[in-house]
Amino acid sequence: MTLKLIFSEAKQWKYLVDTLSRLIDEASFIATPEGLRLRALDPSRIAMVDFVMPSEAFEEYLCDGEVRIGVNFDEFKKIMKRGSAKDKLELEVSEERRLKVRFRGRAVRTFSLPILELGAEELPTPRISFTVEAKLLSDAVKDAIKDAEIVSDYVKFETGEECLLMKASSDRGSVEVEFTRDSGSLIEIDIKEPSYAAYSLDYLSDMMKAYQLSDILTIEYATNKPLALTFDLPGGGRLTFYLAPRMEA
Amino acid sequence: MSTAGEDYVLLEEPSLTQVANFINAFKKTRVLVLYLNCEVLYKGRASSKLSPGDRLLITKPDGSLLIHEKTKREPVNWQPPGCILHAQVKGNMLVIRSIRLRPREEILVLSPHVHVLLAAPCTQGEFRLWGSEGEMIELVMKNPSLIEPGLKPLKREHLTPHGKIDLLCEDSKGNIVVLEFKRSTAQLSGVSQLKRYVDYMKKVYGDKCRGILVAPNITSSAKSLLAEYGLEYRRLSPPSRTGILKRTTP
Repeated sequence: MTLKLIFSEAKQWKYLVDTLSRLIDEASFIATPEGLRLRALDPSRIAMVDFVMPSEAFEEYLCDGEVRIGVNFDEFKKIMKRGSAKDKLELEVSEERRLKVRFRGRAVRTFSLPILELGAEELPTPRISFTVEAKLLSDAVKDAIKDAEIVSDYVKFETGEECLLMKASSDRGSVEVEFTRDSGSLIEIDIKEPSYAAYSLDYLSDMMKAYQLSDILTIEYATNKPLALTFDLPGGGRLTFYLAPRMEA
Repeated sequence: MSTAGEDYVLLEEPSLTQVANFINAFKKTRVLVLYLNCEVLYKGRASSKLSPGDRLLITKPDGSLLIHEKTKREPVNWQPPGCILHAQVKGNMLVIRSIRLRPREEILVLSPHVHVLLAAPCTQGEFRLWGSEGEMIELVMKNPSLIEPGLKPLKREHLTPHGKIDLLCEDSKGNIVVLEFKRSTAQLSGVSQLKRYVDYMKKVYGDKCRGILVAPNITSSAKSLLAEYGLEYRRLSPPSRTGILKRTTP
């Protein structure tokens, strides 16, 4: 079984692994001839990551079967952080079942780390009937989450007339962020029914580290149902986070 | 139908969904060229509407967007680098949106039909320019006698409240000489530009101040205005491929 992938921008992977490392300790990438995917729960099982990158998104993609690459994300992140802006990234699984991470830039730097043999439990795709789907500018959402963090540790999503509201409050104060088409941060919104739900800001703030990967994100949710946060990645990839709602008393 | 070349992709008569997915997936990595039937709405500092028709739409990985019609060098609608692009299908319409954040400007392209889509990686090379104003200035700095014997260059790009003086010199009689360079025919505007600099220098350093417009050619109206202001003209062409000036695009 051989696996060799070349990705033209190491920086993208640096952001990706940095984001994933905030939510996941250990997980396996699964490489197949179609592409690379990863699905994992965070240790508290409140959030799930679903990542897909088709083979076309890579500059070179050699994979002749199914290869599982279990990594410790703390370690993997430390290595990926070493990638610079102009480096190409090469991932290779060697005969001895080690993962080689190679940065091709001014020098060729090769790291090698052990591949973890993790359980092969496949997580099913969450089945949620979302009632709201909105496309927004990533950095506007990132700012809104930072705003909410000033007063609270959770945020409420609400729908208005063709708009999306994020509200946070506590005895420290309150904040309300309104996303409308006119203000420019809301690109599209589809509201099937008025919906509201609250989510943990700790998790949202970790997930929003992915804003550097995509300037637009999709938020989907329904009343007291999980939230899905999707970033479209260059080359047709996708990074989706699912987050369980916080039930209010 | 699609033809995959080395690294470019060409889709003929693609479906709208195919185009939308393609744009979203490759907007950051490829130059995308679409030949499509579309109408274009713009709102921002002004607003405009381009009636439906067949156009050429180009998007670049830096966020630039250009929409070209049958004639003219300039695109009919455009967005500068740094804009956010998004495509989706709504009903039987492809909607391409390009948003500029500051100042807020938005282009909306509505297309019922895309004839061709080309996704090309394109290269970013080194750009060399010959015959620029900068080169003329360098030429004079090396050979000031091209303007007149005894001329001494003092400073390039001398800052004044009215703009930058191309080259400040001193002549053999101790006069300050302001040189303004034009790479092609000097116009009235060049004369008034020079006059502003000379007037300013006279105010600061006194009357011992001359102004010379340096260009390969001059219009007759500019020449007579120059004479009226007591300024001078020297004919000088930009060097042709001598003393190469390098400019590297990032």
